[in-house]
Amino acid sequence: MRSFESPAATSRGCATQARLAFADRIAPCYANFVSAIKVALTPSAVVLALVCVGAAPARAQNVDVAVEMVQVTPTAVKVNDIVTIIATLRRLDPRPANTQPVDVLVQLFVDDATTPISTQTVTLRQGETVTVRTQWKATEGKHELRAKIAGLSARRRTPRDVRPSNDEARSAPIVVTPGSSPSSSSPAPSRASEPRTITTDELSMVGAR
Amino acid sequence: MAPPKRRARRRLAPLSLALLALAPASALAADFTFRVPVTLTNVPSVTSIRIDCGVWTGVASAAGTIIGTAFTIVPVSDGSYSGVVTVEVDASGTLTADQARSYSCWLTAMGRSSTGAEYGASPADMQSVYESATGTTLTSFRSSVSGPIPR
Repeated sequence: MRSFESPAATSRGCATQARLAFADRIAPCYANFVSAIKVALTPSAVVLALVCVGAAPARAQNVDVAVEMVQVTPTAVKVNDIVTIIATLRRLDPRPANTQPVDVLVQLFVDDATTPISTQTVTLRQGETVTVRTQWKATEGKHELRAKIAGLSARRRTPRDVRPSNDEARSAPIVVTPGSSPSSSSPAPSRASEPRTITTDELSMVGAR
Repeated sequence: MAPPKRRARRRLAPLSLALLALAPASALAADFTFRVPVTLTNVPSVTSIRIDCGVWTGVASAAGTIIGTAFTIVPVSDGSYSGVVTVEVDASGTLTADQARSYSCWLTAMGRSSTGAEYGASPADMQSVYESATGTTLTSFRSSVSGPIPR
């Protein structure tokens, strides 16, 4: 364990004497320096300094990110069905265009609950649209699913949300009825073109051995 | 009173007619049939998977307005699965299948955690939910695929 000794405890020896002499010489100067700091550090000066430090970085960029819509699928839902909630976000900054991407923290809620069922971060450039998806096990009753922008951040200039009124949107109400659904569901058909078969890339999960 | 055979025939007649009426409807193909190859390896806690597919009006993946979605649930045993899952999606509402420009399919894994509780790992949080529920590592995964609708 390291220990630090006071000058009094090491007052013997040449080196110690030299150190004490040096301390005596700088003491008046040190006292003046401390008193100068005391004068400068009045409460109002401290507040002013902090404001200046806060304003020092480049000015905030004006950003407008909107939750355009919240969709729920399927719409005919029974208790314990897993429904998919899709929120569409769009970045609609006022001009001039700002190319710096903004990270958007999105939260999805059921009705007016304060605990989100999902929290995700998406990155948006000006004019971009992105969808955020999550799933929810339905509970009985009439529900609205809600998406809300909980925060904005960027690497360089702090984003400032210029229109907070469009930061939240709700789905159309869905009514969750008792009972159970079959394992697969599709809405009623409304055909306008030839049926198409699409083979996708592979989905996979590999666990550690 | 009619003999039992004739009575049975009378009862079956409406049923036969109903089945005939339903037959053409069930034989209609969906607007979009997605064939999604799925491989699961060494994920013993997974009891079933759900494959969702959706079609959108936007050219970019899952952009624009949603035209229709559907899902298929497949049971999984012994921690592995290899096969092609078919998901049939129809246009619903006011938008038609012609307006579809992009699709997306995604995987949700459902299972039991080490404590016995049920979990559901969706694309947004697949790794974190799986690993915290099972205490094991998910070494790799691909939980969603998307692309343009072939014209």
